[in-house]
Parts: sequence; structure tokens; C-alpha cells
Amino acid sequence: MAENINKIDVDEIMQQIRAEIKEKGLDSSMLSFEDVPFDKEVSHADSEFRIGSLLQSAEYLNIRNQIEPYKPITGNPVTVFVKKVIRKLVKFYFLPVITEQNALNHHTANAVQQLSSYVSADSAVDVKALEAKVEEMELILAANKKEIEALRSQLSALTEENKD
Amino acid sequence: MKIVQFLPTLAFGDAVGNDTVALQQAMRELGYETEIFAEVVDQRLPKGTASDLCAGMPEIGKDDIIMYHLSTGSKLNYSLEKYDCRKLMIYHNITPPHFFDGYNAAAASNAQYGLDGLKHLADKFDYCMADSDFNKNDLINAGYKCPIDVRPILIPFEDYEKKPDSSIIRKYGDDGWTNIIFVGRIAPNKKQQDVISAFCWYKKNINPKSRLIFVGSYNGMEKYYNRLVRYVNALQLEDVIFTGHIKFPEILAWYRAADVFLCMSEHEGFCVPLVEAMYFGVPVIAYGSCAIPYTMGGSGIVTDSKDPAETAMLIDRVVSDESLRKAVVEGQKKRLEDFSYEKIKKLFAQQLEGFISGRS
Repeated sequence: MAENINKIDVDEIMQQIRAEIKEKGLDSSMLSFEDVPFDKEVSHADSEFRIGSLLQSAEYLNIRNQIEPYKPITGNPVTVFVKKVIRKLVKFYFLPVITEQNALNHHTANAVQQLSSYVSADSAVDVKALEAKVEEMELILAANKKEIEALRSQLSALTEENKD
Repeated sequence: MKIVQFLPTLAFGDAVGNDTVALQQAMRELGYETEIFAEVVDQRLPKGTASDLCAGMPEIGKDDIIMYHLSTGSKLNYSLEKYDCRKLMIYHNITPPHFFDGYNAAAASNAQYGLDGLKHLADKFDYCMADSDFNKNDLINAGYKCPIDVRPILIPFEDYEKKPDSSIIRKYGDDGWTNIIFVGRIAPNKKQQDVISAFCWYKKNINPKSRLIFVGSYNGMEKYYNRLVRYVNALQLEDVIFTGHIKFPEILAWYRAADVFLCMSEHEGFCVPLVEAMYFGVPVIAYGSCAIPYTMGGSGIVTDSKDPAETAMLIDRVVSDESLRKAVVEGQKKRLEDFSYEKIKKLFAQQLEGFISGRS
């Protein structure tokens, strides 16, 4: 297969290119792909932290953390009567459970509220700090760009001089 | 006697799927009764092309022949051995799992499952066809003792004569810019980052009026794609296009608009896009790893360098040196003759008949 192909002398071309790079002092160093960090592990939407979701749930907990033990009973008169009798009979059991659950809910809601206030305050500080950092980095970048431009001009001038 | 092709997924437009369908057509032309069975059959394929294995494994007689396309991890790697008939493997290669580390754990685990299956099947097949000598060596290293022949992928080139997307050609085809393309899935083994760094050097130091186009889907490789995009942004590099999954006429249009095909891949079992670039007369610069030197067959420019400056200057030579460009394209056209449909079909027929008659 492919015996009749006039092969390009790639080695010779590469030698010429390498010589040219050396002669002109060209530099191939640049940001490496390895310097770009990997993405975070993909997580399911529900397990990923989102401050909006936290605040929304905290707000809901704040408003509705107490369970109402007596729900309206519906149905025909006989059904309503029977259900009311059953409720009276088991009241001694469910009322203390609900009271205990309500106390727990109250403290849970309070804890979540405290946490979300803390996270909100913390992220506000973070954003400000990051904005300041970005500003600083942009300034450094602009300075570097100018420096590179200057170096390029110098290099062009030197190349022209050498040609002459 | 019936020849039954098996493969895990019969996809529309991928190299393995195209090879399977082309072989079916070739076998029918040669007068064989043949069928395709796959665990998943792409709905875009014409009805009746293949049967799916949802209803269970088919009945196969002692005189029949199983032709199995191995390219990935699959239950089929462990379920074909129950058939008491002669078995032929077509090996397309499996990407080593380490390439997927940090990007897609499921892909890494599937690749490992595939390599385990490859070893498991070492003494269960009577004959193998490998897409390249690189793939043949892989089989030998995996412990295969049966006869193995190399048979390049069967490519129905008439598909490439279909009408290309005119809007891409209008916009990018002849605007005075240099278009550097790479066609293939966005995948870590294909090392698109090395294409980016070479392009970066080329654009910033040699030719600002140039663009880089990656033609290929990043489905399943979003993490790698995102990292590539962040790399492009960090380099402050403009005019890099990731097309994502596009339609066939659009792929044809990108080939027609291309000035150079740059491949820095480090793992390919054959690399059909190299042959496509040959077909469209696009000069190829490729890093000579795995099956790439075989596929190029002495044509194109196969380099051992990944240095961005060296690669960029090589691109410049090919773009600006008309005689070099002409010589490269001519060499590629000659190599392309080796992959002509008729030639590969004839080779396949000889190998298949040799196997059937017991010569292989």
C-alpha cells in the first residue's frame, strides 16, 4: 500500500524550522493546558449549594414551622361524626407528639435562619473581596499587556536593524 | 450459511456504524445472506438496516458465522461465546481508560470493561480483522493467537459528494482567512488542547487572520469541553469555533472551507477524518501516534513534535508554500486510492473467503 507516494521530507522541514526558531530566538512557552484546573465534580442540582435555594427554604421554614393538630374534617355527617370520635379517642397520644415536633421545628427554623443570615453576610463579604481582586488582576493584566507591546516594538526594531 | 454482524450500538454516521452498514452492503453484493444485530439501533438509520437485541439473542446455526465489531465495553463481549459457530472479530480499538480520568468516570469504567472483554475473548474467536496494524498489535498484546489480518475501514465515499451546507462555505470559505480544522469527537485522547496551543502561537505570531474549527460533538465529554473553552479564554484567543454536533452537510462544508487539517490525537484505531481530509484535498499535519502513521501511509505531514511554535511554523509552511502544499495534497490523493471502496471491498472479500474456506 502507498508505495508510490513521493514522501515529503518532514525531518528536513523540521530541522529548518528548529533552526529558524533558534536563530530568531523565538519562544514557544505559553500557558499550559495543565494550568487550567479540572471542573468540580458534577453534582446533582439538589446537592449543589445554591444560596437562593437556601434562603427560599429558610423563608418557608420561618413562616410555616408549626403543625396545626386539628385539621378540618369533611364528608357526610355520619363520617364526620365517626372521625371526630376517633380523634377524641387518640388525642391523648397525638397532641404531645405534635407539641414536641413543633418545638423541634421552631428551633430548626431558627437554626436555618441563623445559618442563612451568616452565609448571606459571608458571601457579601466574599463578593466584595473577589471584586477587589478582579480589579487588581485587571490592572496587572493591563500593565503586562503594555509591557508585552513595548517588548514587541523593541523586537521589531531589533529585527529591522539586523536586516539592515 | 448466514453471516450475522453484532455490535453494541449501531450509530448513524460514526466510523464503526458506517463500516458495519458498508460491510452489510458489500456482503450482499458478494451474494452472502447477512443481518445486523445491535443492542441499540439509531433511529435515523433506514428501517430494516438492523434488528435490536431487546427481544433477545437471535438463533444462529452451526454453519453460520458471527462477525463481531469490538470497540467498547458491552455485555456482548461475554454473551457471544455461547454460540457454537465460527466467529470473526472486527477490531476497531478501545480508548484506554486513563484518558477519561477526571472527565467522565462512566466512560473510563466502560473502556476498562471493554479492555477486560477484549482479553476475555482472546481464545474465543477464530479470526480477526483489524482496522490498522496498530489495532493488530493491540490484539496480539491482548493474547490473541488466531490469524489476524489488517483491513482498513470500508468507507462509502459517494456520501461525500452530497451537497455541502452553503451558508458555511459562503461565510468562511473564501474570505481570505486561514481555516485550520480538526474533525472528531471532543475527547481527551484526541488532545484538542495541543491543537489550541499550536493555533494560539500561529495566530499570535504568524497569521492573525486565521481561525480554528473543532468539528465534533462533546456529548458526554462536557467537562473536557469546558476545560478547553477555559483554556481558550485564558489564552485570550479569538476565532476558535466549537461546532458541537452538526449535520452531515455542515461537516462537508467545513472540509471544503478548510486550509489545513491539524490532528494532535494520541489515540486512534484508524482515524477516518484523516481519510476524509485526503478526499477533500485538505493537507494534513498530524502527530504520529498510534494508528495515524499507518492511515497516513507516508502521505501528509506526520510529525513527532507537539511544540506549539514548531507546529505553528509547520502550518505556515503548508499554508504559504504552494509547492509544498501541492506535493502534500498529491501524496494524500495517492494514499486515498488505497482506501477506495472497490479496493477495500475486494480485500475484505478475499479475507472473508479465506476465512470461510478455512485458509485463514
